[in-house]
Amino acid sequence: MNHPNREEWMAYLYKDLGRKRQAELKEHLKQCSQCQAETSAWRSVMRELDRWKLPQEHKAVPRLRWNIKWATRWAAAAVVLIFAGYAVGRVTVASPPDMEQLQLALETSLEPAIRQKVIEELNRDWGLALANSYLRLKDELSGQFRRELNAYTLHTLAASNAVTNELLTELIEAINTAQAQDRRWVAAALEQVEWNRLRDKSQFINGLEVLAAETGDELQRTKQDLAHLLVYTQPGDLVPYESENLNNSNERSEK
Amino acid sequence: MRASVFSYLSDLFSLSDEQAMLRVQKENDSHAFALLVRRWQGRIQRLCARLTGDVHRAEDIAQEVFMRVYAHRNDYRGEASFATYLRRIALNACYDEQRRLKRRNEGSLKHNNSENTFNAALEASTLSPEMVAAKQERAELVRKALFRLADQYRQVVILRHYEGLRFREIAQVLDVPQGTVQSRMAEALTQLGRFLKPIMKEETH
Repeated sequence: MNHPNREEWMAYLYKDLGRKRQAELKEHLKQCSQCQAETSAWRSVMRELDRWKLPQEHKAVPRLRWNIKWATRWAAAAVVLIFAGYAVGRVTVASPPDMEQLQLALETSLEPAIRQKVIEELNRDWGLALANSYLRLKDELSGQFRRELNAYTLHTLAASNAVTNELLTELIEAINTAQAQDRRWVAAALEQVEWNRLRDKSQFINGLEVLAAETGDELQRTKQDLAHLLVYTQPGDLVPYESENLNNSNERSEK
Repeated sequence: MRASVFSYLSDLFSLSDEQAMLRVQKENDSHAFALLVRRWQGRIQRLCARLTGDVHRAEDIAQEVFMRVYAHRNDYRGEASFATYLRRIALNACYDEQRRLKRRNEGSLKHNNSENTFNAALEASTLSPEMVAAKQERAELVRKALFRLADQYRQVVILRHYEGLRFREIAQVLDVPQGTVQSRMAEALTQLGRFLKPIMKEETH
């Protein structure tokens, strides 16, 4: 039997192999008790290594945990994504969103069952599979997002602006790990959504309505939640929140 | 302050590390340099904490790293990514620090080498079975086991397991072939397995 060498096992254990080779080695393990024993021993060491944690370790690579802190961070990331998506017109029915960014946002916290399904989707061949699964993915994302955003807005509405800034700063940390090329389009998007230059709020809300129409009533609530957030994080002069404007998309307010 | 949060965010996204570094070199742009520090300080501090095993000293070393980056800013040619370049400086700074400490301690406590330290810790923990289970004790044993490894093995473990760098990236940082990195990793994990065998035995799968 042809055993893979130690070097390749290292790549395998740390998932640093091409998908095909990864699968081949996995197959080999099923049939070879010798390699099984060796890799098992190495895995034990890897587990032991995890025990050495630094104090106050805020890992840049998010762990898959489900608690309020991660929920708010995820919600913040999703907010930026959706805002950014509208600004550059990427979040439409036709074109799938930037999957690397989504993956980053999704990995921070999702219910394990949904997360597993979503990550499986993401890891497949993105081209064709994505076209089909995109709508399903968007639905799941939207639903999850709405639930979490409610918790998030409750938090932020009650808190001071300093806290919002803190959450945004945490978001910065999370997004810092994104690839350079992803950063560039988010930068372009951010320029467009920069609050003090966003003269026409209803343009943004129009976009939300498109999404709401596509995905049903679920997102009506999201729209309101997002508008809460929008109002809440206005810099400087606070625009009084007028619930009527949300439903009247034809009204364009002069700034 | 709120308006600046978004321009702050914008900045973070718009300038790549390499672009920022170019600005530091060409225009002595302190804003661009501050951006790099903001982006990387946390990560470099954690890296140094792992490399030296000392969280507090790591803070000072991290400062030293960025000072070196600025002082030798013209040395960065853009052949490697800034991330690679920065990590190399961090590794060197930590290595220099370890050497400095070693020279200082030479002559005193001759038997205080890493193997003895580890064995002492292991013995202490086996005297009290509860202590082995205790998280802190176990973490400390792992740390000591890591420091029994030779530098070249420990570096690879830290970069791969804790920093999460891919083997190809580690090869760039260390300026060795990728196969060598993987080979060192295998050797490191094997040695660690031997060191940690007494406490890993406790585990029931």
